[in-house]
Parts: sequence; structure tokens; C-alpha cells
Amino acid sequence: MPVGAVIGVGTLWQLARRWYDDRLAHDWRRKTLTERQAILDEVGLTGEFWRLT
Amino acid sequence: MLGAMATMTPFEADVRLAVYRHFLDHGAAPTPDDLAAEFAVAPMEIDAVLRHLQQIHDAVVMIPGGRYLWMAEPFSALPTSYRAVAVDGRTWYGNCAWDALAVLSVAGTDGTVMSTCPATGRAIGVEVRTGTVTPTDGVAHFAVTASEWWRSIGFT
Repeated sequence: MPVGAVIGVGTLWQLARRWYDDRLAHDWRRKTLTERQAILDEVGLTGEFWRLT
Repeated sequence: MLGAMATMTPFEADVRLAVYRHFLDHGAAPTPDDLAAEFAVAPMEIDAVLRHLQQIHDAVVMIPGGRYLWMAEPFSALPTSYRAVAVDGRTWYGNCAWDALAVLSVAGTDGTVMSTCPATGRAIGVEVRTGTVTPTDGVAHFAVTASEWWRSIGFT
């Protein structure tokens, strides 16, 4: 298994809330790459490991 | 992701939302028959919508080669090592620690995410209470870089 990265559960919780905040909306659509990257940035997950592309 | 920005038909949007409502209410994925009964249509019609929701809208994941739901992220239709238990006793499976926490967020409830340390077998619990998580010194491991998360949906 690759070494990967370790983050605090507080950050994981913030990521979980933001990433899935629209799942119960009737007009849901998949977030764009830019929107998803912005969420990672906002919760402090920056740097090469957290780049989606 | 080709076509992921296409707009869903109203019926596709209804079925997608019904999948989530079913997970929330029953702790399990609906079968195509459940959805067909709910919408008073033929099961084959639901099969086609679910395929469309996966292939065009990236909205659900079907069990490979089958007609049954595997994931409506963050929910897992299959038992996993990441169980989310609401304070009222409702229970769901998430696809990973991230998803199990997200299940509580989507359900809008306090609760506990329960898992097991893969190295020691020790039980692990993370509590969510009024928007905060404990223990605050808990950690989560991401095995692969973000760019690889969807290369194999079952392994992140």
C-alpha cells in the first residue's frame, strides 16, 4: 500500500460536510473539478498530494 | 466524466433523490423493484434510469455487471468497515471514513462513526456532536493521491 497522507478528523469532518453538502438537493449535479479543488483548498488540504489533476 | 455536466431529466432527478431518501429511511439501498413500485413504472425503466445516472451524471455507482446499487456517495449499499450510527439508532455504511462522517452530515444528525484499526483490530470511534468531532486528536489515512481517487472507486 502507498504511504499516502494523514489528516486530523476535524479536517476530515469539514471536508465531508462541504463535499456532500448538496446531495439532497433535487437539482444536484456533480461538482466541477474547480469546485472540488476549491473545497480541498478551503479545508487546508493544499499541495501536490491534494491536487485532483 | 464525459457528459457529467448534462442536465438530468426531472424523472432522473426524482429517482436519484428517492435513492438517497431510501438510504436515509431504511439504512439500505433500494432495489430497482422498490423504486419501480414507488414511481409506478416498470423495473426495466428504473434499470435504464440508474444506468443513466451512473454513466451520464456520475450520480451513483452500480455493482459491476449488475443492476443493483453499490454506492450513492457517501452511502454504501454493501457492508464496509465504516459504520455510521445516528443517536436515534439508525445505521448506515460509508465507503470510507470520510464517507461515513459525511453520512451523518447528509442525515443531519449527531452520531458515531465506528471502524476498526486495520493493523491491530482495535475498535475506533469518532463522535459527531453539534457540528464538532471527538476525539480531536484522531487521524485518517489517505492511501493514494487525490488525482487517483476515482481511478478505482473502491480504493482511495
